[in-house]
Amino acid sequence: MLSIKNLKARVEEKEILKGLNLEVKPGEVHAIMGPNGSGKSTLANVLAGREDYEVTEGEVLFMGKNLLELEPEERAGEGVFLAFQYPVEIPGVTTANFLKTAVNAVRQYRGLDPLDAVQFLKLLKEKMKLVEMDSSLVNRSLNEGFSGGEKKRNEILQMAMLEPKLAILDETDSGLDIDALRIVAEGVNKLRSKDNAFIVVTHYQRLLNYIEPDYVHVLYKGRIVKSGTKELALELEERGYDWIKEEVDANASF
Amino acid sequence: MTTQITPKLISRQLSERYQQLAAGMPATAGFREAAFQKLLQQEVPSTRHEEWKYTNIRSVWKKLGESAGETTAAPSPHWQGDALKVRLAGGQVVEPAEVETANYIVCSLKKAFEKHQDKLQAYFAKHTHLQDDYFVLLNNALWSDGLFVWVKRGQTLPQTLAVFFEEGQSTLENTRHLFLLEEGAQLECAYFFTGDSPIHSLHNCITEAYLAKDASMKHYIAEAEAFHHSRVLRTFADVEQNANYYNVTFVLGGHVARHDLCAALKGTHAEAHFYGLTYLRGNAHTDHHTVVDHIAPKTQSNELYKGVYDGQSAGVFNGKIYVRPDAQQTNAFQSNRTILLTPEASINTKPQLEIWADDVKCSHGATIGQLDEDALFYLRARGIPKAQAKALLLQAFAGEVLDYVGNDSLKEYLLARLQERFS
Ligand SMILES: Nc1ncnc2c1ncn2[C@@H]1O[C@H](COP(=O)(O)OP(=O)(O)OP(=O)(O)O)[C@@H](O)[C@H]1O
Ligand SMILES: [Mg+2]
Repeated sequence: MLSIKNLKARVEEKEILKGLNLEVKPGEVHAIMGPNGSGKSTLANVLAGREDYEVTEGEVLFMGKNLLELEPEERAGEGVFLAFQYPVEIPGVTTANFLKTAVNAVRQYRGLDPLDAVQFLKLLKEKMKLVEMDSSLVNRSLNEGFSGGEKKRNEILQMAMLEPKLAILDETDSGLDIDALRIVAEGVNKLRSKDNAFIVVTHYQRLLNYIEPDYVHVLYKGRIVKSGTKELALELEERGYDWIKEEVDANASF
Repeated sequence: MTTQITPKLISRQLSERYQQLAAGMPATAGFREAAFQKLLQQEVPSTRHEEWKYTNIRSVWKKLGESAGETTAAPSPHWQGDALKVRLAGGQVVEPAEVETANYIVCSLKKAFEKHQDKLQAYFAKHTHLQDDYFVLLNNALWSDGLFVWVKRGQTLPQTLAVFFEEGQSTLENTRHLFLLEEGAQLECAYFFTGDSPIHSLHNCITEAYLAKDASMKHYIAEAEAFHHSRVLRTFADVEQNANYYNVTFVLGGHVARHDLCAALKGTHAEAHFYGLTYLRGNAHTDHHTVVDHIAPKTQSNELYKGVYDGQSAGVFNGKIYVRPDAQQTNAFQSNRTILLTPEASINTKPQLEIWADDVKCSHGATIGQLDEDALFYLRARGIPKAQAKALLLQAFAGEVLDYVGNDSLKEYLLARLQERFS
């Protein structure tokens, strides 16, 4: 589904991704962990098509297509979804209006008829139930004045509405209370199928108790330096990153 | 090479015109004569003139009458809302919705000078801020027609008054309008400027509105015409105790538009509300000069002007707020917010506050920025194509001003005009 080979990217002359490799197959859940500033959000944003990041080397294939050639909206149409670490507040655009515009834009891209108001509301209600989101939120300006947790839940709602093939969740668990964490995780689990995949960026093992990953990767200094199964996350929780950093930094000095 | 526009250069054409007008409306002859004599001593202001620093009205003047070539902009459809309609073309009231009841009068100003002298005498050209500058004198001497509106004490004009100005039929049009609202009277009025004639033209339009105690006037202005019509639009409101003058202005087209909007708050609790939305493309230019003069205590003013500038278009905002020594416990707010869509677009913004009272709440602010890139990316990442995402953001930006339009049908009409332009 997703194949990243030797990906290098920089922002403002600073190289952040330094030759990253990752293979994701349909049905899989990959967790990406790693110290602050190691490049996790950068990877997520590069995959979503943010223009501030310049890809200098490598390739990214998504369902056999060169993802890096596509506009952000085309990537969304193809089925890439990024749940932002910091969702943007957009005053003056209601969440409902935004969702309808987004859903119909994606449907158009996928060659489907647009949803009319009734169909849309039905879908919205169904998905809002999935993330147990309060209906008053969708009539407010997008993310404006939403609490941290409400913003994250709104990201999952959008994911549920847009039915992506590959969802990248960038620290969706941070800022969530214990109940919200469970709700969001359950929402994700309900959307899991043999045809879609998830990349879950997180700092905490806790989320992975709910969303069981098939693989856990450690991203450090712009590369995936260690991969393993879910036990790796437990080990990281216990030991921190120092042992990995030491390993990597020792190798780098050769 | 610069050609000086001397008064002599214009006087031959204009003096004939002025003589005709004076002869046709004897009641105005003396007034016109005095103005014309002063006009002969003045020149069209250049950008050296402090009040015209960023708006080159002289270059507009020089082009008057020239062919503008093909007119490409399709004219906007007219607003079809429920209204009392008046149409002006070539500076004349051509479709007079002449109504006269015991409670209100709407007629042409020309006619009012014959029939309603008693009512207008004390007000016509009497606004304190109506100063003898070039365009005021030009209008005083040469106004051809306009509207006279009177609403009796405690009465309300039953329908919105919709005034359609079809511009460009003459090179230079001078129209004049007078609104008299007696105590507690209310009216809603909308000006629409349209026109697609293929010559460069200028419309010099002066409105005076006198709002007696407790009166209220909602004044909407919509400009969406071809790219070679220019306009000097001046509106002077006189606001007595508890009265409320409310203006929402949309500039969505045209070549050069200069707006002077002024309210004198003369009685306690008088209010002025000025809202503006400007969206320009090409090399269009809009200049908003506002004046709120807080004369009486406990007066209030609120100004919000938003602008989106595309292409090489340019905006000017100059907001003067005076708080006179007696105007204690005054509230005055002013804000000017701009989005520049291209590096070539520009805005000059300047608040000018002069405060002589000590117990006042005044605030002003200006922001200038580009379209929010993070917001744009967020929308695109959800599958919304770039152009549509941009339109959505611009519409959200404009929505705040649009929300001040209290007339739903008019609001819908304006929203449609905005959507046409944003997409
Ligand atoms: N737009 C930018 N301009 C400058 N530097 C940037 C920009 N975006 C990211 N960086 C830098 O790139 C590095 C990687 O940032 P990134 O956000 O990808 O880290 P992260 O792994 O997601 O960290 P965290 O766990 O704290 O979210 C950091 O040093 C960051 O400061
Ligand atoms: Mg991050």
